[in-house]
Amino acid sequence: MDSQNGSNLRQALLTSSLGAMIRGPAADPADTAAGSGAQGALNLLGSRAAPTPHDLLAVAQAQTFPLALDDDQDTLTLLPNALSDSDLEADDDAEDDSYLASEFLNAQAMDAHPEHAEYPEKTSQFSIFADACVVMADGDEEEGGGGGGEPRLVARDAAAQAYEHRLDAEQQGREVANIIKRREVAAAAEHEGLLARHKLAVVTPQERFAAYKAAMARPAAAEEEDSVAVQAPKRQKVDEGGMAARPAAPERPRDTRLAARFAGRYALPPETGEYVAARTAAGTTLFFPLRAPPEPSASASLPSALGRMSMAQANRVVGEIEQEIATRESLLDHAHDSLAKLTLQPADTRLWAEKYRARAYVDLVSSERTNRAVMEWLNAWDACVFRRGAGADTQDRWKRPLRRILLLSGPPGLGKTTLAHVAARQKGYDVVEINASDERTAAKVRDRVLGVTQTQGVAMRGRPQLLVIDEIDGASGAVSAQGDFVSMLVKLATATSDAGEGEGQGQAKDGRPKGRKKPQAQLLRPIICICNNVYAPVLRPLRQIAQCYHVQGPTAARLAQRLQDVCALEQLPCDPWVLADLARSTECDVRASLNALQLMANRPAPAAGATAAAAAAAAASALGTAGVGGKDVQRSLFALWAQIFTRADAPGQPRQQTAAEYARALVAAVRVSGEHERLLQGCWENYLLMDFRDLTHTRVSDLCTQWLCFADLMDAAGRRNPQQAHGLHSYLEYPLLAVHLTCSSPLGLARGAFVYPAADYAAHQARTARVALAQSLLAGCAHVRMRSSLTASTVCSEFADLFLQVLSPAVSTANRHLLRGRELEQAERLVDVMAAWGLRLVQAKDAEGQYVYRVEPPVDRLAGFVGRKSARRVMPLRYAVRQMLAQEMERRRVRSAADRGEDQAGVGGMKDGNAAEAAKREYLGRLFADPLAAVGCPSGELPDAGAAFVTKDFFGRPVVKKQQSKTSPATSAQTMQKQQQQPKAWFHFFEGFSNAVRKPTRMSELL
Amino acid sequence: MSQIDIQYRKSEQREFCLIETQGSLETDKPGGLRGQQRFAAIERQPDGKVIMKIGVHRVVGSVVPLKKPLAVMVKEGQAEDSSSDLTYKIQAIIKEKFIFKLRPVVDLQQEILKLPTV
Repeated sequence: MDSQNGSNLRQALLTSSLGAMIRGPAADPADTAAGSGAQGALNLLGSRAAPTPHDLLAVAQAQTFPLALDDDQDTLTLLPNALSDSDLEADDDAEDDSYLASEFLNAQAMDAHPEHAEYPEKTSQFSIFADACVVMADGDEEEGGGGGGEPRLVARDAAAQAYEHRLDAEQQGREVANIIKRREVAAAAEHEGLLARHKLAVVTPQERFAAYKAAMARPAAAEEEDSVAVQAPKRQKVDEGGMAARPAAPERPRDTRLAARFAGRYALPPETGEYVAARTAAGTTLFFPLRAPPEPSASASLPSALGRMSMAQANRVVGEIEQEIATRESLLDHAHDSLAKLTLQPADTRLWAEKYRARAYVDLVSSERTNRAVMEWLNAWDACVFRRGAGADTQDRWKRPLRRILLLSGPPGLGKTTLAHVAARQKGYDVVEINASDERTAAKVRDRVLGVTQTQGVAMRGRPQLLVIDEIDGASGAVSAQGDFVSMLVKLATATSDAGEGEGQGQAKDGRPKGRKKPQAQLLRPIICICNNVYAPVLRPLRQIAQCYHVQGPTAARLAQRLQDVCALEQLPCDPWVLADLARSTECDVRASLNALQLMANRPAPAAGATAAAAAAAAASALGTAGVGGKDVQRSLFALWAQIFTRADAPGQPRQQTAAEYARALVAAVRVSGEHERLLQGCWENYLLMDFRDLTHTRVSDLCTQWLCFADLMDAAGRRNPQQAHGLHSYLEYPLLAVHLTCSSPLGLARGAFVYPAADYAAHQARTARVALAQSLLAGCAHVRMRSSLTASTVCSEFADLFLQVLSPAVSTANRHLLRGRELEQAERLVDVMAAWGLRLVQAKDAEGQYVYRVEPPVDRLAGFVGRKSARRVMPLRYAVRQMLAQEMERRRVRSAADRGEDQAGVGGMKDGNAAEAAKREYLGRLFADPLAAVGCPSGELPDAGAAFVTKDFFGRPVVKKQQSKTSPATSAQTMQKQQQQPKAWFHFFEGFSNAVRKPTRMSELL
Repeated sequence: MSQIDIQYRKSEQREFCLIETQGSLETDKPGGLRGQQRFAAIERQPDGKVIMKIGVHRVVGSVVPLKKPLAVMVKEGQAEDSSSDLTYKIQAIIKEKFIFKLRPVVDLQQEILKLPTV
């Protein structure tokens, strides 16, 4: 009772303050905006007083956020290139500062404008907040003296990470460069050996080939060594030489490079031993020392071969060698490239989510209940597939279970696919998977499904096959010749049962052992379908016939345990609390947590001296800041409402969560949901039912007058100008945050009073109906001028109430002969008005079966306010009076129709009352026949043409009509008369159809 | 019990015909198509066809005998006070009707039709 009173009081307060708001924003005290500055806004959360938009606007003005109120149109306009939220957070950016400065100048210019001087408070009010949002979320930390805001820390962290990445990349590049260098040295040595061999045995091509092969084989070995070296890269100091060497190398042409290399070694003739001189293409002379031959046979023939070799031959040999060196070099380069690619890849490319996928039933982390249910369903297939045990469905010939398709649903990453695979393997099936990436037209899938579910698995160790259709809700509803994919599945699963029974009877009669030749396809193997959203429209038919299970994710503790196991296997030091946090932040999404963990593991390890706690803190901050594992999951509206109305320190909330964190999470969740309007409606309709503490009601009234009006303003501005809607969208989250700050309680929605918002839709429906009603009322109005001066909205706001009073005179008796004096006048007037507005009284039966007269169109609903129904009676209510009115109206209608008929006949024209009418009609007739004559002479005499009116041409000369010059006025008058006497008549042929309606014709028209 | 006197005099009989058309007869005259206005010529052909000519168009129709003949009567005398002197005079008996259900065609003159086509 007490709370009821309280909520009434709140309502009253609210209405009064809303009334103040409606009267205009200019009436709102401007001192709120002026008095509270940026400092006030900073204290928003700390003082426990709900922040107002004004505070934030004041902050915004300090920052000159580019949003302004257009004074002429009362609209919010977003100045060009308005900042997005991310820009807001990175406010320390120099570019943004300069941008803000320019915007500030703009705003100053606008303020200096004389028109704006009239509404200074408005401008200040609506040049919207910039950091206010951040301030609001960060309020606690700022207040607690935590130093710089977290966004800055984030930015700094990100920058540091990016720098580190760059360093890594550079280092890898340098390592590759080192490898190349080493390889080049090796190649040079090779060349040397090759050269020597060539010098020794130029004459035999076989030996050349062998030498070449050997030369090719050796760098391959060297490559292997190198790749081993590269795969275990060590962090080493960057030497300037390495960096310098690499870019310098490709600049030089190849032959000069070679020449330079050889020039160093072979430029001078060796001091000892024999040598061969050779000239390169560049003209350098080289001296190659002769060495002992590797093979004895070659060495035997060496002196003679050398002796025979002339200078020209040697030159040719050197040319060939150079050519070979060139090919070798290109091959080596190619090898380096591929090696470089290899070295950039990590050692184990598998995702952990794949690597640690559950292999056995006991490894499954999804909820035990679901696992068991799936196994039970598979057990029911045993009788059909493995011919053991009794089937669940005794009616079925194949002893299949009643529901032959299993539909697993649930959010992504909970292990639905894993569950299906593991359970199937556990039962001894071979799993065949159809994924979203496969072709999924109905015909193809049908072949595939039948192939799997009908044939005995021959290829795969003789095990029966089970079909897993993953992501079935992604199946397109495209209808092919055989219908869409899902309905094909349904047909396969259901139609077989009927056919099976029919077949069973037929079999009994014919004595045929098996119905193998029948055309009807049979589903003889289980099918497991997996989807995220079981209520996808595509799945509707399947949902009815399939066994549906919603896969529950593991509990956070269990997932954390599993993550810890994985960490142990990967030798990754990890704090259990961090893992629990990770599990919670991914909402027990196994795949996402594992991916996040792997990402963390791949990051550079902390310094060796760091303690485990520091490492855990770093990991936690990495998790929190980089958004790793944070999930863009759309939550249900009710969950969001619960979040809005639950205090951050409520018992059920996760520990160690500050109000600011909670608020930030709330804003993010609202942003993801995108349902600002619906959410706000829900808050608006339910906030009074919530159990929050506001003894003076000031916070609630502030919320409504400030924040909700602000939200309305934003919403309206967005609607009016859809291009701006996107820019304004991000502000719609903060009114919801304000609702949270004002109305949240530890209980949340636990009282159960929360109802889904329906008032807005109901109001919309009612409004549509009323507008249609007003329009139909207007359409029935015979008075053109009246009709044109009214619109549907003016009918509702100004006209309807008075009009209904006019329609409701006090008529006491139902006998029209007894009506006297004023009552008679009123009744007649009522009938007149109703006729003029096209209102009718229609007899109908009401809900109790009583006859009533309804007003058509039902104008009485135009003023059907709650609570006013009894006070205002529209039209005389008594049945008899209404009947009398209806009869009177009908009589009048008949009379007017008869009048019209007489008018058309032209007989009644001379009757007493209608003389003027007849004269008018006659005049109009003449006007149509000859406008000039009629206008010039209303009395009916035919003057000489041109006497009254002389048509003149452009130069003012009178226009002489040609036919009048030919014929005399008398004859023209005669022809006119004749034309009047003989109007045209024609036969209109209705082609193509016979409407077969006999039109009643009065005999008087024929006689 | 009131009696209604219906008079039939052969000498006063006029000729009426009932026309059924696939289409409508229309006019731009304000009062509508009424009275004995002459706007069409209807000819009976010896082969049982009828031809209605309006302007340069012509519709061919057929004559169909009515299953029940119709009588055209005119009420005479004032019926307000008493019904004693109320009489109906039969003006015509209609026994057949003309049905025009074909599409009108342009009634070209014969010499135009005889022109050689190029």
